[in-house]
Amino acid sequence: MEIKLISTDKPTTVAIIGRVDTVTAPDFQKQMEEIFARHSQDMLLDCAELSFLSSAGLRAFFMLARKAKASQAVIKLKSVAPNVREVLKISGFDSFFTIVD
Amino acid sequence: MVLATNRFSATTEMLPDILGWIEEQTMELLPMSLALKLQLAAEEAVANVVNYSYADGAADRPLLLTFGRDDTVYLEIADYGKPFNPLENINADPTAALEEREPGGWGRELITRMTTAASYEYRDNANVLRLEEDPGKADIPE
Repeated sequence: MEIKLISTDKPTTVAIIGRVDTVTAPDFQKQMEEIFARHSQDMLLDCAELSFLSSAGLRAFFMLARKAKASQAVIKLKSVAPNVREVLKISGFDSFFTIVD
Repeated sequence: MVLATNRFSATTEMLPDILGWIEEQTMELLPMSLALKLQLAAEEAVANVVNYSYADGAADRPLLLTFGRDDTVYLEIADYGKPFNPLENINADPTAALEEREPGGWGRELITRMTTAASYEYRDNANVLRLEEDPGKADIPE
């Protein structure tokens, strides 16, 4: 799993690459929290190369959504793969983010 | 028909190996869309075993994984910890507002929604969770 900071202009644009699962979710959460703390809290997460998201990953997204809500920031998810979108939909997490193509 | 079996120690340190083996097997046995679904369901179940099945400090923490094919492709996940049916967990409410949510609670929902069938039995002192995917139901790409 890799996180690439693409742009720090508003919104902060981040590419998520690989799998966010039980093994990688803690590192994912830590990196995203650092980026959230340092840059514009409006974020665009490019998920084109996010290949897999499990409930451990949902937990990390949940924490991010909570922080965004507390800061009145907007987080958008872009190019979400069908399998990842399904996980977000089943959990209702698709209502916490704006999903764009 | 049993196709592949493996035995692991159900520890956090072994999770990359466990999930890696599951990923390899599912990619060989199933089309991509179903392989990813089965991986997701299996990860939920395996994480439960690692985190909850055995007492802290237990020296022996066996986790047995069996892939097979009958009418469907199946994965059986067996552990010898305390009896626990992961399909009976209470789910989080997907319609609840963000402020009302807890960070977890998606295990059962993801297991049941990502598989053709999921079943549990306590057999020979083991928790046995069986996850099935029907290759005939793979998503047809447009």
